[in-house]
Amino acid sequence: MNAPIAPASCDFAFWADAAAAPGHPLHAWRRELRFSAIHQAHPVGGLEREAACISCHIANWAAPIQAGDFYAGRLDHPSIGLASESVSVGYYCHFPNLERAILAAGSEARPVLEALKAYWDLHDLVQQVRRRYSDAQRQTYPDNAQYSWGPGGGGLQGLPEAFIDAFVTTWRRPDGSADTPAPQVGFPLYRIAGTVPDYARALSLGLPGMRAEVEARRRQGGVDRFCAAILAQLDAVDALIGRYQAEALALGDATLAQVLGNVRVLPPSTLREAIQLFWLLLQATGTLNHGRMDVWAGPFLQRDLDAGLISEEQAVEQLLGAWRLMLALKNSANNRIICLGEGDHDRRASHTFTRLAIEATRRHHAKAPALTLRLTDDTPQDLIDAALACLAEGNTFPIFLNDRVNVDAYATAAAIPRELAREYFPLGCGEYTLPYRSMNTPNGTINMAMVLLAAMNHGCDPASGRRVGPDLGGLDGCATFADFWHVFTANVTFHVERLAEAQALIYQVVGADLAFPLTSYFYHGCLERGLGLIQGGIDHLGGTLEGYGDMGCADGLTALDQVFFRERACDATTLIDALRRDFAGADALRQRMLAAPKFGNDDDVADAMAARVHDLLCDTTRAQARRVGLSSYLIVCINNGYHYYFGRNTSATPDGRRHGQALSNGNGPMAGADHCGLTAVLSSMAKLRADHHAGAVHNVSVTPRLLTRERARFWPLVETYFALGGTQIMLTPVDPGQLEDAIAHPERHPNLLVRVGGYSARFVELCPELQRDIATRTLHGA
Amino acid sequence: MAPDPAIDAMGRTTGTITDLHRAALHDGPGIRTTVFLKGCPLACAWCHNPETWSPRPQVLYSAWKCTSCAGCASACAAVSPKSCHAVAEGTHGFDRAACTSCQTCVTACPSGALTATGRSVSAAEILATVLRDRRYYAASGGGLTLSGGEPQAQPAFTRALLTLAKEAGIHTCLDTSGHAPVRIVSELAPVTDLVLFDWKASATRHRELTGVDQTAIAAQLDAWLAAGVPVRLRCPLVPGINDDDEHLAGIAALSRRAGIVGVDLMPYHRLGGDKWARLGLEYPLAQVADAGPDAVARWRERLQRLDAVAVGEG
Repeated sequence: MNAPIAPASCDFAFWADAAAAPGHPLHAWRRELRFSAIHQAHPVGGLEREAACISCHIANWAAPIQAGDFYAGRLDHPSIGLASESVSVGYYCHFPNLERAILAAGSEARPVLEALKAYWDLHDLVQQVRRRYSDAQRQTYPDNAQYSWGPGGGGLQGLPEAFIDAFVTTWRRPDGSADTPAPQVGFPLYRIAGTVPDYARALSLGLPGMRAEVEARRRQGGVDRFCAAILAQLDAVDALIGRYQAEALALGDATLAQVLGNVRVLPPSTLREAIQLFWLLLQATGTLNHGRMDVWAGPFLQRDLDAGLISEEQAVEQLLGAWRLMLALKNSANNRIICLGEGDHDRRASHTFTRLAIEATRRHHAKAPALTLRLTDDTPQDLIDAALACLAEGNTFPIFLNDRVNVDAYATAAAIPRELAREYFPLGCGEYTLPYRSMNTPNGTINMAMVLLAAMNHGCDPASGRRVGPDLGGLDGCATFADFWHVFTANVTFHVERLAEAQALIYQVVGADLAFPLTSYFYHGCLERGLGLIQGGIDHLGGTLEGYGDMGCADGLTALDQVFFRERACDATTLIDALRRDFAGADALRQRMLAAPKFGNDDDVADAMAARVHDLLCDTTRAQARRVGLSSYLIVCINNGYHYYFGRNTSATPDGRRHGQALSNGNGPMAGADHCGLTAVLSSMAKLRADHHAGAVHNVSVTPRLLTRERARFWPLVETYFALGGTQIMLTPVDPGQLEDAIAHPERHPNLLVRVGGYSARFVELCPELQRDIATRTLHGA
Repeated sequence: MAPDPAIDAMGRTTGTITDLHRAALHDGPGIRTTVFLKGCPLACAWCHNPETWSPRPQVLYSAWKCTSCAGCASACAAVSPKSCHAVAEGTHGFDRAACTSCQTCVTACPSGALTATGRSVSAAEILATVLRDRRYYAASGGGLTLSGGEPQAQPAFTRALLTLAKEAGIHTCLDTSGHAPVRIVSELAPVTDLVLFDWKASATRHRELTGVDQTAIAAQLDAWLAAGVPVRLRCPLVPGINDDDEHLAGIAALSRRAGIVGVDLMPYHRLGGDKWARLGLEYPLAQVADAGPDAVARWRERLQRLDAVAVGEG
C-alpha cells in the first residue's frame, strides 16, 4: 500500500503525462489530471490560470465527431474542469465520480486519485462558497444540496421523473453519504446560468474579426490581461477547429472540413457556416441557451434560400443537424431557442426561420431544444397554426410567450428601459434576462409550502419535527389572521434574505476567481472595462429566486383564515397535530380545509389571497437587490420538477394537501383544486401581477384534436388569456405515455383534459376502467 | 316535475343544476359556459348524464374510491333514524330509497367515494359567473349554453337565465330534448339565439329507447322552426341500437328543412357508464362498444345516400 500523497506535493503533471499512455491505470483520468496540473501550476489564480484552464477544458470536453454529424462539436464532460454553467460553477469536481473511481482503483492509482480529491475539496468553488456561509445560512441550508449531475453528466434537468430519480440518487449528506433529502424550506443553487453569447455580432465579425476587435481594444491599454485571456480562449477555439478538420477528413467528410476551414479564417457566409461557428462558440463558452436564433441565423437562411444555394428541405435538414447536437447536450432545462417577438430585425428572415424551425422541431420530436415563440400583435397566423400542428403531433414545443404583457412587465420588474426589455429572453426554466447585458442566474429555491408550515409551527416541519428555520412565532400565538400573516411575512422575509445573500455570495466567490473571458467579451461593457461579467463588467448583474408551491401556500392561508380563525374549527395544537399525522383521524377537518376557496376557480376570495402571497414573495424578493448589491433580484414561478421533489418531503398542508403530494406548479393552481374549467384557471392566473417578477409559467395538457381540427375554437382561449394579461402558456399534447402516467400518478396530471365523444373530461376524475379505455384508444390514434 | 317556477324567499328565480362548465368547447359555437340543469323527462339508454334525470339533489357513490371505513354509516346514523349506509364484511351498502340527500355522509366521507350532485342556485348568481368569461365569448363567438337534463323542465329558471344573458349581450344556446309544451317556445324564442335540438330515435322506437313518444318532440321542433330560431340537430347514434334506416331517413329529411342549420352526429361512447353505477343504476348498454371512426363514416355514407345536408360531428 502506497503512502498517501499530500495534495500540494502530488505532481499532477507527472501523472497526467504517465496517464496519457493507453493501459495506464489512470488513463481514464488523464483529462482530469491534465486539467489539475494546469490549475496546480498557477497557484496565484487570476486570469492567467483561468485562461490556461479554460483552454485545457475546451480541449478536454470536446468529443470526436460522430458519423452523420452535420456539424463538428460533440461534448463529453470531464469530471474535473472549469464550467461556466453547464455542469456546475467555475472550477468544479464531480466528487461522486471521483469517489467511485477511488473505490475501484488499484494501489498505484488510488493515492493519486485521493490526492485529486483532497486538492479539489479545497478548490471546488461550491465548497468555497459554503465555507463562507454565515451561521444563519449554514443552519438553514445544512445539506450539500448542490446542483449536481446524474451519471454520465448532463445534470438533473430532464423530465420531472428522471429529475427526481437522478436527484435523489445523487443527493449527498454533509458526511458524503447519499440519502433521500430531508424536508427543506429551500436551498441555494451553486451555479451561474443563462449566459448567451451575442451570436449576431460574432457571426458578422467571424473569428478573425473578433480577434481584431480584442487586439484593437488591447492596444488602447489598461486591459491587457483581460484581452490576453480572451485571445487565449479564441486560440483554443482555433486549435479545436484544427482538430475537427482533421477528424472530418479522416471520416471522409470533405464538406464539413471545408466549412470548418472557412469559419476559421472568414466570417460565415452560409447558414451551415453560421451554425458551425455558433456551435464552436457554444463549446468554447460552455453556454446552454441559443438566443434569438431567428435574428442571428434567419438572415443566413434567407440569403441561402434567395440565392438558391439550398432548398427549404435542405434548410430543415441543416437545422435538424443542430437540433440533434442540442439534444446531445442532455440539458432539457436550458437549450432554449427564441423566435419572433418585438425588436428591430429582418421580419421576413425571422418568419422564414421560424417556420422552418417549427418544421425541424416537428420532425425532431424530442425534449430539446426548447423552441419558444414570443407572440406579438403581428405574429402571422400561419406560424401559430404551424406551431399548434407541431404540438398536436405529440411535441411539447413551441412554448408561447406573450410579448404584449411581458415587455412592459419586465421593464418595470427589472427597472430597465423598455427598449432593453423588449430584448428579454427567458432562460431554461423561464427566467427573463437580457441577452449580452444582464445576468440573472437562479441561485436559490424556496418551498413556500414549507415556509407556511414553519410559520405555523415555530420554524419546524410538523411531520419530522425537523427545524427548517428560526422560531419567529407560531399559530398558537396568533389570535387573528392578521397576527398570523405577520408571522408568515417574517418567515418569508427571513428565507428570502438568506437566499439573496447566498446569491450575492456565490457571485462574489466566483467573480473573485473567474472572468469567463470569451463569454464576457460578448457582454456589453466587459471589453471596455476589461472586467468579467460578474466582476463589474456588465451593468445589470441580477439574480432570481425560484419559488415553488406559491399557490398551494396561498390556498393554505385561505383555509387557515376561514376554517381556523373565522370558524374556529379547532385549536392550533389539534391542527398542527393533524398535519403531523397527515390528517389521519382528522378527515372531517381535512374536508373543511379542502372545501375552503381555492385558487384557479376565478374565486375572488381565493384569488385575492393568491395575489397577496404572490405580491409578498415577489416584492420581498425584489427588495433584496439593493440590500445585497445586485441590480435586480426577482422571483420566478417555474415548473422544472422541484414541485414534485419538494412535495415529497413536505408535511400535509392546511389547504388539505397530503404529505408527499406535489406542490402547486408554476403559478398554476394546486393539483385538482381547480374545477370550473380552463377559463376560470386562466382568469385566476391573469389576476396575478406580472411586473414584479421574472417569469411565471403555466402548463396545460390538451388533446391533439384541440390543436388541429378544433384549433379555431381553441386558440381564442389562449389569445383571450393573453389579452387579459397572461404571460406564457405551455400546451402539452396528451400522449399515451402521459395517460399511463396519469393513471399511475393522478396527482401529477390534474389538468389533463381529454375529449371523448361529446365533451372534454378531466382525465384523472374518470374511473380507472374508463381511464384505461381512453389510454388504449389514444394509443390507437382514435 | 321540479317545483317551478322557483322563486326563493328573497324573490330570486332559482333552479337546480348539477354543474356549470366554463370553457366548454363542444356545446355550440365558440368558447361557452354550459349550465347543466337537473331534471329530465326522458331516460335514454345511452344517457351520459343520468344524474340529471331526477330534479332533486342526489348522493353518488363510487365503489372504486370507497375504503369501507364506515364513516358514512355512523355520520348518517347520527342524523337519521336508520342509517342509509351500512358496511358489512368490507362491502358498502347504500339504501337510496331511504336517502333524503341531506349530504351528511358526503361531508364525512374521507375518500371522496360519496359525492353530491344537484344544488339550488339563483339565475343571477349563474349570470355573474357567466359574465366573467365575456372576453372569451367575444373572441370566439361563444356564449351561454343551457343543457342538462332538460332545461325546459325548469321553464322559469331557463327563461330567466336566457333573458339575463341576452340583456347582457351574450349569445344564448339551448340544448334540449324538445320534450316540453309547445307554448314554452314562444316564451324562450326571443331570448334564444340557437337551439341544439336532440333527435334521438325513429318515431317507431322512440318510446322504447328514450321512455317517451316522439310526437310532442316533433311538435316542439316545428314550433322552434316556426319561431324562426336557428336549430342544429344533435343526433346521438349507437351502433345497432338507434341507427336504423327509419331514423337515418328521418335525420336526412330534417337536415333539408329550412331553419335547420346543421346536423351533428354524436357517436356513442361509454364515458357515462360510470355515472350510472354511481347512481346505483344498471347501465343497459354496458356491452355495446364505442362507435369508432368507421361507424361514423358508415353513418355519413348512409346519410349522404339519403341526401342529407350539412352533416358534421359534434
